[in-house]
Amino acid sequence: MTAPVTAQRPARAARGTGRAGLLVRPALIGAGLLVLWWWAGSQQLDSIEARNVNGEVIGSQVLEHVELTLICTALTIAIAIPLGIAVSLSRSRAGRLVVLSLGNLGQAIPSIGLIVLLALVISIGVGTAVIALVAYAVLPVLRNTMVGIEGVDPVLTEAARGMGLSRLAVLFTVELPLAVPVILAGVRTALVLTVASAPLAALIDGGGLGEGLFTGLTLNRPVISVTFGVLVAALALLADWLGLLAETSLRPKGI
Amino acid sequence: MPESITGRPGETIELTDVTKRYPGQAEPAVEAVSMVIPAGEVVVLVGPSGCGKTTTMKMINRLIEPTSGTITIGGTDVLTLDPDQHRRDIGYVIQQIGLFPHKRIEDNIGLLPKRLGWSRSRVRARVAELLELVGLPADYARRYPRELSGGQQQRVGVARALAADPPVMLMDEPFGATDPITRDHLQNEFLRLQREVRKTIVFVTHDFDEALKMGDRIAVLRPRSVIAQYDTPEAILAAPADDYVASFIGAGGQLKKLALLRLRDVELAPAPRVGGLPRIVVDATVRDALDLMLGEGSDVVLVTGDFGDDAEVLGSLHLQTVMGAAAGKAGNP
Ligand SMILES: Nc1ncnc2c1ncn2[C@@H]1O[C@H](COP(=O)(O)OP(=O)(O)OP(=O)(O)O)[C@@H](O)[C@H]1O
Ligand SMILES: [Mg+2]
Repeated sequence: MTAPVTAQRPARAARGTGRAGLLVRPALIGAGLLVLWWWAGSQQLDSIEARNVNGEVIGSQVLEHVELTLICTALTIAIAIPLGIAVSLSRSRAGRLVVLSLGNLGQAIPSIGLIVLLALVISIGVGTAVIALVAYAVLPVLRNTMVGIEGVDPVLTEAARGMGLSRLAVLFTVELPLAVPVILAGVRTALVLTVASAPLAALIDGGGLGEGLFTGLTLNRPVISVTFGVLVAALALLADWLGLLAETSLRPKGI
Repeated sequence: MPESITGRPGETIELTDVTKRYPGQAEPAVEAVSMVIPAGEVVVLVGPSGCGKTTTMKMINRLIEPTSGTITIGGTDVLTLDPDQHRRDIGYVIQQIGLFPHKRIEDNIGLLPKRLGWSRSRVRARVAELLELVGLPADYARRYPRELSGGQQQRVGVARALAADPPVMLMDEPFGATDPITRDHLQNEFLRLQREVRKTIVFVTHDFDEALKMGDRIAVLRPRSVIAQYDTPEAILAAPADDYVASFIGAGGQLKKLALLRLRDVELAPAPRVGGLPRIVVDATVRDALDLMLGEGSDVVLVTGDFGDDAEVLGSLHLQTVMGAAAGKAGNP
């Protein structure tokens, strides 16, 4: 009946374990960062390492990374949700297939390949990095928007149509609110994907934590690469946690 | 009361040669149906599964567009109306209830009135009025649907359909999903409600006993919604048009006839002066009285105005009268 599509499941765990469960994650991340800070501080740093592993460089790269992620995620949402709504509204099977295959294609290409390819075709720089990261993150949001809307019980849409709501009114009063948990699960996936892929931006001069990471790798300085690697991981976990928070607080009451 | 529940009385619905052919199907799902549904009456469509009841009903509110034929409500051809506008004037109760789970009961009921631009206070008053009408406590307004039982949800479904005071109601097996006791209770409440609101109601069911109880008229349908008989419950029981209709009535046709007859509509004999006779209220049916006679081994029962031992005795009913009632109805149409 419908193209085989698997959507990211909305989080339910946070509900079951209560609000306290949501506090464990940031505590663990904080502990990890403390360990990192203690370990890096205990190392003898040579001049190259000292130039990279210091508060100022780390601070500015984290900021760049977060900025890049926020811009990409905002663009991803702005493109994927309206597109997903439009495809669901049109009820066009062809449209659905085209959009999903394009999205799948985007994700099947390894992100590093996509970034380098785009840099070759367009140019190096932040703009290209943004395009590549967005192209990569659109699919989960798009897919979940479509699946979320299509997953609304047809009985409810018929009840809404039957009371005289227009197609658009049905979308906004019934379908979208009920699809929110599924859509947010897609956004969370996209967010984590972006944080974790954003280091690749440094390959084409796009800035972010990738700069430190690749410096460490190319100059064979494990202290640098481990520091920046752990920071990326911590950011990704934090992003996932923020996504979970959003899912728990924005889930409509009553469902 | 500024806004009375009985605000807009029912309007006559007329179907003329209405046919629906689903794309890619050899046989039409509904073929050339013509019927008049008089204003303020409950017409029950009854027939086997798949015979086209739902399709026929949904063509009235245009959730399904007829392939040919005309449908008018209050003389207006519904195909000339804007479908959304048209549906706002028709209450629709679906079998699966379909309350919006993310909206509180008050927002489920108040959704359409709000969209029609009613003021907040008017919507709130309407919700309170409807909750009372369907027999739910006022504080249920703040609950979510999943915090209600199935039967309670079904009542909210009816309240929601009545919200904008539509002259016409379509009810597709509205009490299908409940146990027999709740169902009986909801049916009684519904009949009480209808005596107040006097809407034109199209009511779909598979259950002939429910049809007998609810309908002012019953349309017994064959496949493709072809009408086998369209008449009052009494007339159908007294003279089924053919074997198909008779098979719907099933066994116990005489008892069903007695179940339609209320004691208040029967001529009672004066009460005898002997004590200890079984008592029954005047709201009960002749069938209930017969059941009581059989249970108590008495061929006469006292009919009272109300429950209780000190209620006023209106008269008595004899077994002979019961048999006469059955024969009389059966005898001459
Ligand atoms: N959307 C549709 N497309 C094609 N055929 C349909 C569609 N809806 C219903 N039908 C067919 O039309 C016929 C009548 O269906 P309908 O739903 O009106 O029956 P019904 O009398 O309401 O049955 P039930 O008592 O089981 O609800 C059935 O044979 C059904 O298979
Ligand atoms: Mg049906």
